[in-house]
Amino acid sequence: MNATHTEPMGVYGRLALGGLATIGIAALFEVVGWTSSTISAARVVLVFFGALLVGIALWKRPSYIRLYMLATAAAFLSRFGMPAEWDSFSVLSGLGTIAAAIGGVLVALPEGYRKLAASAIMLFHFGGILSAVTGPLSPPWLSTVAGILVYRPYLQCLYLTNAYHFYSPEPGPASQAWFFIKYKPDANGVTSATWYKFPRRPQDMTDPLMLSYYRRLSLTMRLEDYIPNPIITDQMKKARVLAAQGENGIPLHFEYMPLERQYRMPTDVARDLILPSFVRHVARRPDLQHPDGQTKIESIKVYRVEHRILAPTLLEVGMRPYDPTTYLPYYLGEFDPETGELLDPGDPLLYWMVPIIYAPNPAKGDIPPWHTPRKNPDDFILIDGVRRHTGGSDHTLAK
Amino acid sequence: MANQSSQPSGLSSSESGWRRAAQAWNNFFFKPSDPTTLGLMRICAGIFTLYVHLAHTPDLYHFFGPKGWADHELATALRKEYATPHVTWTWSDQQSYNIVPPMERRVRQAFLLNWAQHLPADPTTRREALEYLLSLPPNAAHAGEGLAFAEYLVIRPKSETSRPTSDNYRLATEEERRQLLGLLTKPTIEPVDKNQLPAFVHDLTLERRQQIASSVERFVKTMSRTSPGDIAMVFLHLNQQLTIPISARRETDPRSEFQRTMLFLTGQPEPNQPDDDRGPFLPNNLEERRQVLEYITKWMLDPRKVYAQGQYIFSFWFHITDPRLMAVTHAGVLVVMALFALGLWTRITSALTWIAVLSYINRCHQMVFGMDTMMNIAVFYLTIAPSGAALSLDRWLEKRRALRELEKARRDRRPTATWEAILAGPRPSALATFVTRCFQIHFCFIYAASGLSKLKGPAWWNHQAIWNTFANPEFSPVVFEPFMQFVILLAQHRWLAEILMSLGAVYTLFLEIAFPFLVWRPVLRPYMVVGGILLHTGIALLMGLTVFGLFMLVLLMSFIPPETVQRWLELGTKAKESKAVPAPPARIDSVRV
Repeated sequence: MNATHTEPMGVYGRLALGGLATIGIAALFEVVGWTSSTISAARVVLVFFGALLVGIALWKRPSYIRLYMLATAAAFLSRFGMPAEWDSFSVLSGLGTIAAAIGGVLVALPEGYRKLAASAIMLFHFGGILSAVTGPLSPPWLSTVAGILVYRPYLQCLYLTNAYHFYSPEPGPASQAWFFIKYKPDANGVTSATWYKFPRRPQDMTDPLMLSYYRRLSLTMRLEDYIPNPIITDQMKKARVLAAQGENGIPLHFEYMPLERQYRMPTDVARDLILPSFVRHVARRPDLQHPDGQTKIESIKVYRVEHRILAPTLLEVGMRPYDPTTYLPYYLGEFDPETGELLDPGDPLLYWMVPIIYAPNPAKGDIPPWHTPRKNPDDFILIDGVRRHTGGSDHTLAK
Repeated sequence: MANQSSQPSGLSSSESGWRRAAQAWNNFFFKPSDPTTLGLMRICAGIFTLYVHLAHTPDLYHFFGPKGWADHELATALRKEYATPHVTWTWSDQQSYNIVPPMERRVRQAFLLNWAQHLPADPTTRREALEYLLSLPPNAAHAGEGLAFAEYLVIRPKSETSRPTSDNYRLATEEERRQLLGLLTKPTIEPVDKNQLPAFVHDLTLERRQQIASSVERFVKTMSRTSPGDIAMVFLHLNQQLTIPISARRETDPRSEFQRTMLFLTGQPEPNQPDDDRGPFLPNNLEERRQVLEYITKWMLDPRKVYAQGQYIFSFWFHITDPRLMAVTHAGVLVVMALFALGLWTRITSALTWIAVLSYINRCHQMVFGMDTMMNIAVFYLTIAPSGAALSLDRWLEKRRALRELEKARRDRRPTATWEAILAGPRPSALATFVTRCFQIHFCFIYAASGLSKLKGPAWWNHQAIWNTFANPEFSPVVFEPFMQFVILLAQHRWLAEILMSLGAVYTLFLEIAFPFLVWRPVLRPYMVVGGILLHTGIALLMGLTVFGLFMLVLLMSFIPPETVQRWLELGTKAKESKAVPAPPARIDSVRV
């Protein structure tokens, strides 16, 4: 840590003063009340360059207390220098103000006290990390209190909120999102539909380390959070069983019994905020518009599709990770493409699994129990719940 | 802080103990050290950060644009309105919830915005309008019959299979309503009529039934501005609430969610009970009510019950929405990150890189995963650290200038010590030690949290967890045939699979839990570091999380002493000379306290 300087600041002092003045000019527009998009852009540029000048001065003379005082003032003033629509930068301005002020205090303190202060800051910092790592699921009350009352601004601002519970409690399956996009009747009165599924390999691997693919996998993970013990009434179960009846009924998955295991209601944030946003995005994508460029999208059905991890025993008998039955679709609803609102909250299939399963081929009579769909494909038929649910649309042709 | 090694005379043993502890603390955190390791970390973190953001380029508009996956509406809602609940200081949840709204958003809208919003502003009139609901019997089954009766007065299903949407219900006609109410106010209820009336009214006097008829009429009038589908949803919600009990702590506490809702709709603050935690209740002012109900509809919490709204996050992507300007900004960010990796104007470019990293993360939190967390940690500490003091263009420029000045000083016969010191090697710095320690401690937090949290999972105990990672069809490289064949081979040889899975699980758990304790012993540190390298290489190869693994390796580098780094980089002579300067950050002095 450097020795403290209190002597005149020379050229760097003038640089910092220039930076402060630049930010001041930007703030002046706020005082005068001049607003336009050009002035707003100019203010952003002025604040950026002003901050840059102050930053350069501090970089070159990191032990000058007066420079820290100027930096603190500049950071504070930048809050007013930024136009109102850049409101998120008030957070950065506040952070800069506090950081510059702390920096100034640290520089001003004698060495021993400076170390004490730095130690205190470090302990505060790791106290925050401790509250974050003990935060998820059922946190200790003290962690909650510290997290909310003390550390919330600090950890959020620095993005240190992660609890680092990687693959905890245990690694689970990942998910895809499938969108069934139904168009309104076109000029000839013909209705059509298309599919959009993501993420898909190799289509979504646009960089050598597949980051773009994992980004998309992260997006679908946001839909995975579900309410652990939702209320499933007898009426809901009855409606689901009824939906399985008939020639084109949506089957139940015999491996996931009792029935409650086939119901996954996403959390509030996933259902009410994230999913509607995803729907609106899909509805606006140029590549998913009707080929004639005129026909609008009528509705979008969404499925979160859990991709099962095959147990060794299933692999051993010949099942493969990309077999159609390894996909477990859960129906998340049909949405308005403009607003992203759920169209029918009373849909009896809402949040239920819409399975893709093999069933014994009725034409084959009794099938020996050791026959498998892979080894004896003629003995089985594939019942695709998603295809039935979308009126026979072949989702395997998805983009 | 004094750096004394001997105990001054006249000090008691406890004083001397404190002094030794302070000295150990001082040595550990503040003894100046060579910043070469930090320089190497900057190069690696800079390159990886640049890569991460370069990879954003094709998806720039899809991730960060106003119509991206997380569109402007979602991003703004999370940024400005996100609800942080109050801390509860008692054992009751009453402090957090004054109403538990419907789970489904459409039902919430119907219940709160399309019905509750239109309830009378005057509290007495409102209470009278809802008197029917307030007087329902406490028994959930009987109350449910009462609700069904009221529902039938207002709406009728178009068919037996009708569901709560506006298309499937119609309003009951005036005649149907009168007919049903007529049954209730008959002098004597005939057995044939009983199945159309709730059981709890069967044995009531005519006068009481007439009162009920009057109150139910007032109640159904509150729905005059609500559509049939929404009315169905209101009743659906009230019915569900009847079945959810609450453990009341006081006589005045609600006993069910239904009662809590009724209290919310009809309650009024009592001046003599300022600490009544059951409120606040439905506002009488209609504008205030609209704001409160809209917030509850969105966030499931009363805004007057939340500790704070919004989050302390910033991003230039919240404000830059024009595609061309986005492209220009993105290009500028990439340039800054490249400069950071090169170590040019590092004090400035590191701070700008960190602001940029957070801007991308904060704008589309939905595409973020563990890798971004590690990237942020790396760049954050490197911004504070003198990471440009070694292995950087800044250092190269400094040396070039020092050489020039040295020659000039020699020519002018001026003192040359300053320039020679600069040329001798990167200046040891207490800040380098301090930040390196922060890196190391943070890394230990990450490992401890990751390792200990795994102990909750059965798959880590029965060793299936490793299988679940490398047989995961979306994450692992099973999409590549040779790896697939390897997985099939394991499946066909259980003993081999079990041995590998057990080794993997035990190795992961041992390393993550033991690392924070053992890495501080100098003799064990190399083994721990190599163990970490193997773990993250394995994660990168078997689970496909390459960039995550690379950033973990960057953090792990903080345990590598600078002289080792110098040796690797064939700066051997400098490394030997630097032995004279204070100890490197990664080497811990053995301390007795």
